[in-house]
Amino acid sequence: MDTKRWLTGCVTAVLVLGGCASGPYMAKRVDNPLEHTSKVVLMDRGLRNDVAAAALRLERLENGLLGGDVQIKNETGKPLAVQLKVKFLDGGKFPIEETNWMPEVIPGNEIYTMKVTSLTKEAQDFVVLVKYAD
Amino acid sequence: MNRFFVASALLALCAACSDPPTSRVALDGEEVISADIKAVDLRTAVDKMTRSLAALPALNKPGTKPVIAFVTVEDRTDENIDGYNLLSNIRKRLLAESSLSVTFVDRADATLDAIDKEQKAKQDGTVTGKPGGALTGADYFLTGFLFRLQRSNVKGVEQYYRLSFRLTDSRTSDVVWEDDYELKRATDF
Repeated sequence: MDTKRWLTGCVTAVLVLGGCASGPYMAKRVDNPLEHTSKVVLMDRGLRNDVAAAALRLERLENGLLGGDVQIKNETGKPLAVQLKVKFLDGGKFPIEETNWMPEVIPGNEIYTMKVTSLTKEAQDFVVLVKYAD
Repeated sequence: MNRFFVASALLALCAACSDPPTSRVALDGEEVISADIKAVDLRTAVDKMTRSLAALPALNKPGTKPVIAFVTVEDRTDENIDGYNLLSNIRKRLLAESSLSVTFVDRADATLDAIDKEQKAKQDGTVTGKPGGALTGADYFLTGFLFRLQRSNVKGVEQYYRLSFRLTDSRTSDVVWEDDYELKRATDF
C-alpha cells in the first residue's frame, strides 16, 4: 500500500513539474530602473557603506566625443578592490557602448577619479556601475 | 533495496568525478587566483587605449582619414603575451565602435604575399579584375611594449605590469601619442 502511494506521488510530481517546464511566459516589467535614474549604480549591497559618489562631470569634447570624470570615494580605512563599468547612453537612455569591467584598487579614505571618453559622438549621457572585484 | 541506493549513489559519484566541471564564465570574471596578468587586464588595456586613440586630435583632423599600420609589440614580460591580439582588438574596436575616420593597412607577411600573388594573377589574366597600383602608405605606426617586474620572497610574489602603446609618425618618427595601462598583482604562497 505504501509503495503504491509512493509511486502515485512520484508520478504526480513528475506530471506537475513537467507541466511547469513549458512556456512561454511574460517577462516582468521594470519601470525606471536604477540605471536610468542614477548616475552611479552600486551592484553589491555592501558597497552602500563602503563607497560614495563624490563628483561627476560631463563635457562635450572638441572632437564631438563625450568626456566624463567620475569621483568615487572609498569610505573605509582599507584599500578597496572594485570593478567599474561605464555605459554610454543615447538620448533615449539606451546604452550604445560600454567599457568592460575595469579593476581598480582605491586606497583607504581616498577619492579615485576615473576619466572616460566615449567612442562615438552619439553618446549623450553615461552611467557608472560599481561592484566588488571578484 | 539499500544495496540499490548505495550502488546508485556510487554510480552518481563516479559520474561526477569522471569529468571536471566546466562552465562558461563572464569575460571580465577572475576564476583563477594568481599574480599573473589576466584576460580582464588585457581587455581593460585595450578599452583604455581605444578610447585614448579615439579622442586623439591628430586622428580627428577634419577632412582627413589617417592611415595606420601595425608594428610588432615588444613583449618583455616572458609570459608570451600576444601583442598582435591587443593591436587587433584595438583596431576592431576603433573600426566597429568609434566615430573616428581612419584606415588600417594590413602589413602581415602572409597578407602581402597573398596580395602580390593576386596582383600577378590579375596581370597575366589567370583571374579577373584589374591589377591594383601601389599599396596604401601608412601615416602612423601603432606599436608598443609590454613590461613586467616580478618580486618575491618566502611569503609570496608580486608582479607589476605596464602595457604601453604609442603612435609614431611614419615621416618624422615623432611619437604623437603614448598611453599605458599599469597594474600590480600579488599572491601569497
